Amino acid sequence: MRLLDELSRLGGQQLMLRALVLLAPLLAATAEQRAGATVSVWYLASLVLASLVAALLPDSHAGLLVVLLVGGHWLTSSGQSLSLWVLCIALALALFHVAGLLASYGPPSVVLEPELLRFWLRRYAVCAAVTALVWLVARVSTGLSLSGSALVFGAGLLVVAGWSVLLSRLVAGPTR
Amino acid sequence: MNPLWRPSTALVRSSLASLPLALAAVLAGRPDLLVLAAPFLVVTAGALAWRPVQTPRPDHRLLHRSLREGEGTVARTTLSETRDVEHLVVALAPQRFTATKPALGTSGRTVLTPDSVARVDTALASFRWGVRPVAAGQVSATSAWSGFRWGPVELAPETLTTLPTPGAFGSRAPTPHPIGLVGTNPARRTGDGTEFASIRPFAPGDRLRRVQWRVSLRTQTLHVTSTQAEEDSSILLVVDALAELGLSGGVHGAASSLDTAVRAAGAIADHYLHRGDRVGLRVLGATRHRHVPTSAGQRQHRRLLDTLARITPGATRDFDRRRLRFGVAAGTTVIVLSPMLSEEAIATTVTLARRGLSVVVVDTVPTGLDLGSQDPRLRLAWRLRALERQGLLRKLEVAGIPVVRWRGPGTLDVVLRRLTRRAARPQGLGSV
Repeated sequence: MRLLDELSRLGGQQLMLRALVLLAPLLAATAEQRAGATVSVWYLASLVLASLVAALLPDSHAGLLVVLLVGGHWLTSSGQSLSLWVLCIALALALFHVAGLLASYGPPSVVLEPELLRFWLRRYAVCAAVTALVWLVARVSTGLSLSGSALVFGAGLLVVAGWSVLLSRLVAGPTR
Repeated sequence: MNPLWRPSTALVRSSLASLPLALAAVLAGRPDLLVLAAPFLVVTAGALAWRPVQTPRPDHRLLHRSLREGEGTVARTTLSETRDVEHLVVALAPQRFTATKPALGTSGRTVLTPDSVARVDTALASFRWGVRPVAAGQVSATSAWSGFRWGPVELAPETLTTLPTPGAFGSRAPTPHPIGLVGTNPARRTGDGTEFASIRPFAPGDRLRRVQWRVSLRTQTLHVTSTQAEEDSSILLVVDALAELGLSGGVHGAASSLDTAVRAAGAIADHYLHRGDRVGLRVLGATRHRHVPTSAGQRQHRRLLDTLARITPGATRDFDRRRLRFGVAAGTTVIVLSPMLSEEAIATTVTLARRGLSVVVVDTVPTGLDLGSQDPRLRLAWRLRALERQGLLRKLEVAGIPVVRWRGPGTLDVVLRRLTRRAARPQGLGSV
């Protein structure tokens, strides 16, 4: 009853954010299918269910379940693919994460200010840029037949982490 | 105790999602998994890079602690030491007879300049008289990249006194027994005043400007014009808070019996104090502050409104009609504002009348009473109670205690004039 009470107080902005939380994993699943993965009904049903819980309770750990579900499914059901659809899956998951965290900033009745939404638009752009760069590097390294090397990927991981900290500091300016 | 920053759900999600994906990517040699992990790695890195250190300190208060019904104030929540705060949210709990803007009491504020004080103002209006704790709620803050959360911290409620907005009231009728020194009510004795009393032969002590020359010339003896003295009077308001009848909808909605009584008492006090009369208050019931001695002036007006605002409906357990003490001077006009439903109210009214005071009962039962239920048994019970009440009111009238319905300006005019005329010939009371 309390949940229904709280949901009745949802404003337009919160409704939009929660709709994104619900739809972004479905976009990821669609991209998975396009990338060649087999999307079963069970997988889709469990993804919708987890997304629904994440949309209703954005401050819960249901969101983690959604990300792990998509990641796990991609790991088990596809071959090595570095098509553009992989980038789409990553961006859809990032959208899901950002929409979920924005929806969990306060009670359902909270209205986020445009300044905060602009902050997060910039941050999403940083995420997208880093992801695109990683995708590009992965494609190049695949072309150079370096994909099997754990050492290369370990180093790549460190570079990504360090680079993303640097870039986010630069983009956010002196205060953020 | 001020809580510390703790990782947010978003940070837990991004770190726990990115870690297995990145590890699987490295161990299985799957660059595609690294692409999936990349956005979460960025968010985690951002959140950890701006890991908060300084704990904010909240402060919460009302800008005004006393209002009139329908007026508003601001509940100000201030957060100091906001160097690590990016966003803060204040959520005030909804409360009856209180409205907030934003309507649901939740406000968010993005802190654009760190190292400053962040402030969230929530407009708050009170729609009913009374002393109530308001603006209870919670405040929480989020760090950059939504990595860490501080709070929610409970905001203690603040006590807001809402003074009743006196209803419209005016009266042209004089009070029956003016007993003071100077005022606006014509006294029974002659003295300095403006109202003509008579023309009488000159007596030592009469002022020359009072000489009535025409009559003096005609009668060949000095005559003077005498005037009625003007005095202030003493009013005691008795508010029956033993029970509340009807549902209160606040200042813009329906009025309960206690709403009518409190607002009418405020209006009557306002009217007589502006005329220079003395007004006192007695509250019947379990209210803690029950007595305001009779006095005059603007401070007395505020004192009366403060006491009226503190009224809470409820019956006293130790009522003894033999021990009723009012401490009122002879000649005081008593105005009882009551729905006349309890033995205590009837006994008080009759006791005051038997002491020779002029007593007027103002009936505060709302017209078109809303019982708040469609239960036919409740309606039947109220009809029986209403019949009993009619009988009691009739007995009061027979005993010479006028009962009038509150209708704003002019409510008391007719009865006060009647009481003034009757003042010269005291009446005995019948049994009630």
